[in-house]
Amino acid sequence: MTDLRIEGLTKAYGPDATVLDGLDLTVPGGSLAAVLGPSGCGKTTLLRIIAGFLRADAGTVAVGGRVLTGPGAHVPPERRRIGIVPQEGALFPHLSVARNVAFGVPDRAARRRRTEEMLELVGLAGYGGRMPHELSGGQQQRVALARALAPEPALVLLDEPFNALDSALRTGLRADVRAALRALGATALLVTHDQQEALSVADLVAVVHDGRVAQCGSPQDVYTRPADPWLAGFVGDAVLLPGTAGNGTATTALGPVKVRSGETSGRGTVILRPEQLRLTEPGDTTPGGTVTDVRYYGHDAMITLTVDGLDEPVDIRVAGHVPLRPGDRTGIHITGQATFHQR
Amino acid sequence: MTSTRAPWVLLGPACLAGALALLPLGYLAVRALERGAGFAWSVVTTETTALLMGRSLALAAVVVPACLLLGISLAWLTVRTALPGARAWAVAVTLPLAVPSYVAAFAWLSAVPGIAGFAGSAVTLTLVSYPYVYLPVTAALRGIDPAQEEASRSLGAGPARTFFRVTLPQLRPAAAGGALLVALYALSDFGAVSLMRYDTFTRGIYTSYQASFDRTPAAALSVVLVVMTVALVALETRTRGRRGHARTGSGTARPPVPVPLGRTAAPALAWCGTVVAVAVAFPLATLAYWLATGNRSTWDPAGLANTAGVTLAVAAAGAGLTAALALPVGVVAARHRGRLPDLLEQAAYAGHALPGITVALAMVFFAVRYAAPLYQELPLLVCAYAVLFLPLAVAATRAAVLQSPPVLEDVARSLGRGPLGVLRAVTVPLAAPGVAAGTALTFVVCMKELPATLLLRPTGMDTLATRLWTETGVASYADAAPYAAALILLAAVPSYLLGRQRT
Repeated sequence: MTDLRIEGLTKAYGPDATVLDGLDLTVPGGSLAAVLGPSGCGKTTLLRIIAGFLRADAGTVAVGGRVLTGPGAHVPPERRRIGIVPQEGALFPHLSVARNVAFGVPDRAARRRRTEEMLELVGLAGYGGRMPHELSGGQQQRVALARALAPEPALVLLDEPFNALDSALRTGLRADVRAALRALGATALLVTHDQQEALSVADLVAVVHDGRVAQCGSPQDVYTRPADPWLAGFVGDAVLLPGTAGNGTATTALGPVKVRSGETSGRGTVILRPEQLRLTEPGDTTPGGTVTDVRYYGHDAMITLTVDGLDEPVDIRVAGHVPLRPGDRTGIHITGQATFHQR
Repeated sequence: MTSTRAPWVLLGPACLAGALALLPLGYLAVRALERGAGFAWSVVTTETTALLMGRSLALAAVVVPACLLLGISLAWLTVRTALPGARAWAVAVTLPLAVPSYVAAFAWLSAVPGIAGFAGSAVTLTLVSYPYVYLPVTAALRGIDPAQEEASRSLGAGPARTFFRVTLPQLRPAAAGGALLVALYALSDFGAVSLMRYDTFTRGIYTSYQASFDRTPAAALSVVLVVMTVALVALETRTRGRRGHARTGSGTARPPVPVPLGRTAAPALAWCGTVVAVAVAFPLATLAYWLATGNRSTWDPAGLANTAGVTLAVAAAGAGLTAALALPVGVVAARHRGRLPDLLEQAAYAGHALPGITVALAMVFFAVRYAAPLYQELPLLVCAYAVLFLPLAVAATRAAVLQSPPVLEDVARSLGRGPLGVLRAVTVPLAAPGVAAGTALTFVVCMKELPATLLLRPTGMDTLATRLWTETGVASYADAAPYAAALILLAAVPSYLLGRQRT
C-alpha cells in the first residue's frame, strides 16, 4: 500500500493570485481521503499538481516514498502511476468500453483478463463491446473508475465524479466506488465541494480553505470538533454563540454548556450543531426565544429562533413532528458537549 | 484548462510550418528593398502605380456595395420571409462560391466579348463573391431573438421601422465582416481581371514580372498590395472580434414567424431568380453551349485526361503537405497558450492576407537566389500551395481538436502515454473527421488555384486552371470549355462529400 505525502505545496497564477499556500496533507496507504472545500479554494489545482498536469511553485508531492513533484523534480503524468476519474467520466468517445479500460494496461498479454476483472469489479461485466455514448451517466463513471484502476495505479484521484448524476443514482454509485476501492486496497483522493459526500464516503476528510488544509481528520472528528467557526459553518449547519469558558463549562445566552476537555478558557465562540438543541416548555427561568421560521424537510425540520440577548438567530433541528409555528415562544435546552473557540 | 507548455514533438514541426508561412512575406520585403529604399519608393510612387491602385480601389468600391445589396437582401428573403421554396433558394444562391472567378470570366467573355474591362471585372467578381456577405448575414439573422423584433412592434414601431432600427443594426458587424472579405477578394483576384484585361494591381504585377528581367518593380508593387490586403485583414479581424456584442443571450428561443410577402412575393421571387440565373445558370449554360459547339479538333480526351490527372496529383500533394504542416500548428493553437503558440498561430494565418500572385513571386525570388534547382519544379509549387492554404487547414484542424475536451488528453497521460502517444491514440483519431474535411477543402482550392500555378509550374506542365486561362486568353472558348467543365466536376465531388458528411 502506498501513502500520499504532500508538504508545503505552493502555487500562484500571479502576484495576487495565490491558489495553494503551503499546503500539507498526508493520506495513509489504502485509505480514501476527501478533499473538501468551497469552489475556488484550490482543490482542482491541488489535484492537477498531484496528477502532474501542473507544476508547483514550491513543495513536494510523494507517493509511496517516491518524490513526484519537488525541488528540481517533475515526473511527467504518464510516469506517475496515478489514475484519475474526471468529472463526467471523460471516456474516449472513439474507443469501446473494453478498449477504454485496457488503454493504460501496458502488458498486452494481461490486457484482456485485466479488463474483464475491472469491468466485473465495477458491476459492468459484459459491457466491453459497447461504445461510451451507449451508456448512462452512472455507467460511464463506473467505466472511468475501471479505466483508472486497470493499470494498478499507486493512487487514484477522483475529481467530483458524482457531480453530474442525479441524487438517487449518486448514493448507490458512491457506495459502489468505495467498495471497489476497498477491494483493491487502493489509496484514493476524492475532491468534492459536497460536505455530505465527503462525510459519508471518506475515511479521512481534509477541509481546504485559502490554499491550506484548515482541518484534517476522520469525518466524525471534523464534524463534531470543528477547528474554528468557519469550518463549523462549512461542514454542516452550526450554531455559534458568544460565551465565556472556564473549568470545562461555558456560559452563553442559552445557559451553561459543557465544553470538551483540553479547551482553553476566556471569551470566545461556543460551537454547537442544530441537533444538539432541544425545544422545551417556555418558562421564566429557562432560556428561550421566539420562532421566526420553520423549514420542513420530511425526515426532519429546521426551526429558526430569535433569542433574547443574541444578535444572530439560532437554528434548531427537530426530528418528526413540528409542534411550533412562527411567533410561538419556546424554551431551549442544550445537550452534549460544545466546541469552544477562543477569540 | 490546458497545460501551459507544449511538448517539443509538436512545437518543432509547428515552428517549421510557421517559418515557411512567414518566408514569402519576409523575403518579399527584402527583395523589394534590395536596390535601396529610394528605388523601391520611386517604383511605388510612379504614375502607373497610382493608376493601378486607383483601378483596384475603384473595382472594390463597386463590387463591395453590390455584394452588400445582393447578400443582405437575399439573406433576409431566404431566412425571414415566407418566400416560396426558401430552402432551395438558400442552397442555390450559395452555389457561386464554388465557381472560380476565371471560370465566371470565361463564361461572360465567351458570351459577351464586349464586356471585357472594368464592367466585366465588376460583374464577375460581384457574382462570385456576394456569398461572402450572404453567409455571415444569414447566420446573424438566425441568431437574432425574434422576441426583440416583437418587443419593438409592441412598442409601436412598424415593420419597416423595426427592420431599420432593431434588425439592421445587429446585422452590421456580420455584413461589415463579409464586405471586408469581398474587398480582399476584389483586391487579390487575378483570374477574372487578367482575362478581362483590366489592369489592376495583380495584373500589373504579373505583367511587370513577365515583361522585364528586373524583378524589383514587381516585388515593390507586391509589397504595396500586401500592405493593402493586410490592412483589410486586420480590419476584418477587428470586426469579427466585436461581432459577439451583437448577440445577447444564447441563440434563439424559438424560430421566428416568417414575414408574409403578400403582393411582393412575385418581385421577391423574380429577384432571387434573376440572381441565380445570372450567377449560376448563365455560366453553366454558356459552358454547355461551348461544349456542344466543340468538334473533334477542340475535343481532345487524352489531353484533357492528362491535364486532369496532373491537376489531381498536384492538388493532392499540396493538400497533403498543407495538412501535415497544419496538424502540429492546429493542435498547439487549440491546446496551448503562451507567446510562442500565439505567434505560431498568427504566422500560419499570414497566407490569408497574401494574394496568390505575391506568394508566387516571393517563392520565385527565393528559389532563384537560394534554391536554384527548385525553380520551376513541382516542390516549389506545392510549397506555395501550403503557404497559401495553411490558414484554411489550420483553422479546420484547430476547430476539430477543440471539438473534444482536453481532459481526455490528461486522462491518457495519467494512463501512461507520453505526449506523442497521446497525439496518436487520442487527439488525432478524435480530430480525424474534421481534419479530413479540412484537407478535402484544401484539395479543392489547390485544384482551382491559378496565379501561383501559372508562375511556378514546371515548363510544359498544365493544370485545368492554367489551361482554361490560356485558352480563354486567346479567345479559343470551345477549346477552353472542356477544361472548365472538368474543373467544376472534379471540384464538386469533394464539396458534395463534405456537404453529405455535415448533414
